Amino acid sequence: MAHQSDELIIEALNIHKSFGDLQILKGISLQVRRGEVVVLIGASGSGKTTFIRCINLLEEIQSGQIRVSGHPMGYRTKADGSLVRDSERNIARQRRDIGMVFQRFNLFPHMTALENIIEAPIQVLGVPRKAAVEQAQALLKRVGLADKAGHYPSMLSGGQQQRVAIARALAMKPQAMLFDEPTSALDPETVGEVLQVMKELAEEGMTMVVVTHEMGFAREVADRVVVLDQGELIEQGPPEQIFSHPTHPRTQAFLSRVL
Amino acid sequence: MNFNWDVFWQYLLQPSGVYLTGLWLTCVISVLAMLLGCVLGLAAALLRLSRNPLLHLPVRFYVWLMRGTPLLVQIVFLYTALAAGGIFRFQDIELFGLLIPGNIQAAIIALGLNEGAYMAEIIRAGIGAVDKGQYEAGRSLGMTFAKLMRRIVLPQAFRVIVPPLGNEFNVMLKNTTLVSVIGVQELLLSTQMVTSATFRVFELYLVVAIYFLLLTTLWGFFQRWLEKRFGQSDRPSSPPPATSRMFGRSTLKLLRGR
Repeated sequence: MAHQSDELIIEALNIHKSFGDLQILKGISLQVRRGEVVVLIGASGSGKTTFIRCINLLEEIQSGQIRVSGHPMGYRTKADGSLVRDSERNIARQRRDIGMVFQRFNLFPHMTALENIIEAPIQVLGVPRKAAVEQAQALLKRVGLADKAGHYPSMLSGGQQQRVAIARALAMKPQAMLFDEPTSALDPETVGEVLQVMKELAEEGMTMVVVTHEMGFAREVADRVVVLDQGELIEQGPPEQIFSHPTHPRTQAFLSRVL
Repeated sequence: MNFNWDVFWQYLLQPSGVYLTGLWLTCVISVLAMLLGCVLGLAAALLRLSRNPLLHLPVRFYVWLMRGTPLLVQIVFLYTALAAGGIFRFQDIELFGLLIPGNIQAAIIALGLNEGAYMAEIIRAGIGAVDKGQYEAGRSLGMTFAKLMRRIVLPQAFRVIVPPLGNEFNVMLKNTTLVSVIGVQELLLSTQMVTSATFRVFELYLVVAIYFLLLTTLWGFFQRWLEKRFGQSDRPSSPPPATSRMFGRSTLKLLRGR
């Protein structure tokens, strides 16, 4: 979109991740500029979800470096070059800068939509309750759910829950938002309302990294499409280039299966 | 049949001071021991979540020890055996102008220690029942472990914990009779004292049984209210039907005891 600057918000450098002997990420590097919308595509098992979970440290990495707004995330490098995990407190602080939206929403079921949104600003940032409520009401309005503030998640449809989850992440005023297959668990008729909210967010200049199977969204909203395959970044570029003239044979094979 | 209705009605409806003191002690000891058990159980459950063996191995040992030995033995061991071995003797202490005898302290601590082991397992199961996605959501919002537990995980675990917790308190009320062996004058020992003077054993033990039935029944009503109160926010639109509340799983658990 039009709001990009040269400032790097997310820098991932040569990320390696494995579960036991199984290598999931084999040295992925990705840089995301402020205001940029990056969409990660690839077959299941290609490592896209694992990769964005690594960015906000929900997964541990074996080597590589992650920086958010220039600050290293989660790890300190020892003299011999090995990584040590940072203290829990520091990691919690670093995560505030990155909002995350999950495939399964993960709203807090014991709280209303409004309470879900004000929880972290009050508890983590120390925002006064009154200000947090005002902000939450504005956010609910922005995602089109102003009338659902008092509803519990179980009373909302999947699409509504996901929009509350987006509002909840936005309430922390993050530098960037990560979306992990935000529409994969939704009924087809509610996918559109979530994609619409994400599109508006992109237009407002939010920095976004989106893992999705919605190729239409990627084509329309992404500034850059990144293709992952078997834990490697095999190709990236503007959507029209990736979708119309993919150069890597595995990209071509993947796209021919999904388009 | 040798049964004196006059004695029965008299002790049931106009209990003597000894009886009332016993009833009062039974309730106080149950509540305090349960509170102690909950605190210990919560601490133990949280420590068991730790990956550090220095933290979770002592807890496993504690649970293993408490669940593997009879409660009656634990009570006698704590009060009588430790004193006899010259290791520790419970002294009467004065608290807020109230003299608390050593054996009552020992009773509360022994029951609470035992309860803590069972509560640890119950709370651990409750925490385990909370979806992994809740942790991830809390973490991604920048919550520390303590905040995540207090605000997100434990309130949800609590709903799973409440039914077995109520069951535990039911058991606790009845287990207080065991502390009669260290001379605490709760309901059972009070009854024994009265029977040794009146020799109306049948009538008085029937009365004490009815007293306990009354206590556990009252608690049962309170428990049902608790479950209703704390099970609500998850499914506010459809509370479970009355029949399933009466004959459902939690009620069967309540009846089963330990």
